Amino acid sequence: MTLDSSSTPDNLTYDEALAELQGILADMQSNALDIDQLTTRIQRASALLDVCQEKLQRTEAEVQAVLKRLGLEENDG
Amino acid sequence: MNDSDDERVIYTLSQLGESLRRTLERATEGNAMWFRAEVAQVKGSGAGHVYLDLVEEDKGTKLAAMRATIWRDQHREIVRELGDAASDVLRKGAEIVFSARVRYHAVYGVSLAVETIDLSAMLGEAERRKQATLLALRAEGALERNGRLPLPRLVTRVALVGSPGTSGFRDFAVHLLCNEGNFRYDVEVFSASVQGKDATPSLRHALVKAEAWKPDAVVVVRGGGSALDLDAFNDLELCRTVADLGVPVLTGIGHETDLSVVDMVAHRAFKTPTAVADFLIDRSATEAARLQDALAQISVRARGRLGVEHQRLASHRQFLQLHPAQTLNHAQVMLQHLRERLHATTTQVLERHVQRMAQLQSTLNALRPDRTLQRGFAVVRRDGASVRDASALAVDDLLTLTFHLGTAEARVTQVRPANPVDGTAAADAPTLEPSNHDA
Repeated sequence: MTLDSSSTPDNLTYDEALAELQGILADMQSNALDIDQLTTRIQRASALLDVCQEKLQRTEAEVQAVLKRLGLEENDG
Repeated sequence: MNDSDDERVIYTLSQLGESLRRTLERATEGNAMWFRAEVAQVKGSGAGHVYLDLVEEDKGTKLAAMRATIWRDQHREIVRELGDAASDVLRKGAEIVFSARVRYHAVYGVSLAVETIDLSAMLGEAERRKQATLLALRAEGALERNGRLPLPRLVTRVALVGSPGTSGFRDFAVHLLCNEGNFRYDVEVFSASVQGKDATPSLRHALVKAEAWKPDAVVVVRGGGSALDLDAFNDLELCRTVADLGVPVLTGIGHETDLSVVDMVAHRAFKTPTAVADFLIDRSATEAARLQDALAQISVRARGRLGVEHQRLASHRQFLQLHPAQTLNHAQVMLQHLRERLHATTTQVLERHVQRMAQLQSTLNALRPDRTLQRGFAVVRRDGASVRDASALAVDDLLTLTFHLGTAEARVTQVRPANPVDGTAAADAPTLEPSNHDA
């Protein structure tokens, strides 16, 4: 993980946010975090997860709109 | 003859005519002969006879002209033999090979009575011209040229070269524009004459204009017709124009048996104009199906990918929800364990101290003076201070003796200081009056 973990999650791309989130989860899983870090890391992970979720939902809505438009063109053509 | 004096013989026109007729008959022996001529004009009569004006031209100069007649019965026979080709043969501009008897009529002059028309001879000449064209194109490497141009997957801009009003033209247009798939085509017509003498220059002109319109493909159509009528499509200059066109040329020239050279030089040839339209429609349908597939794929893949991401995030969220509690639990357990270890260790340490204390106590006990006193010793004190050295005493000092049980007062009667060497009492050491020397 070379990403600056202090950067605002909103400025990250989905893949960047996901990669950082997975890094934190891996650290948690391997018990590499000490208890003092746990709170901040979980907060960070939670923020990253929200960003990913939000981006995914937005993408999904956009994709739905595009598919719908394609469907209409299909009927016309 | 009244003019017997006159030396001159004067004939009437009918006499001359009769003479000419006989001379002609002698010369031809009354047999039919073969001729080649171009039809300049065709006229039918109400009685079913056909009158032809025949000419022979060389580069625009008329070399000969003659009338010809096809009598009703002959005409019926010829039409039966030629079949579909009859109308192509007996039309203005056609070059025909025929057998005829030479006739002379005193009123109408010389004419030919046509008996048969030799289609195979005419076809043979057309075939010879066709082979010459092919040979020339092959030598120029022009046969494959148009075929090498890429035909767009989707052909929608179509330049239609043909003669509006002919059945082939109509077949193509109706078939293409009223297709079941509702595919829309942008069709521009470049009209050209497709038969007769001016067909070749007219087609070439239309092809060049069609190319300039920048279509996806140029379609050349012609209705059905006999092989003879294809002559224009075997013209070398027309074939060169098709070969060199920068746009793929599709042909539907409409004949069953043989290909014209334009067909061979074109990008692709079809038997009928309708077949060209079918080809274009099929091509559009194929593309439409491909697009439909792609559309379905886009939908499936997009949804699939989004689904994967949703699952991924859900599992991450679950982990994030469960894992910290587990971690803290684990820490709690660790702490509890440490607490228990601390407790156990502390107890052990305390016990060790208690034991040590007990040892010390017993040692201490062993060292207590009353034990010594029990064994018969006594503590000597003077003025409350214990006496360790006899030399500190003087005669008549009052001493307090403490025994295991009880005390006594005594007076020093003699002092014998200790021997410095062995510590034993000197002979003159003080002695106690009420002594207890058995200790």
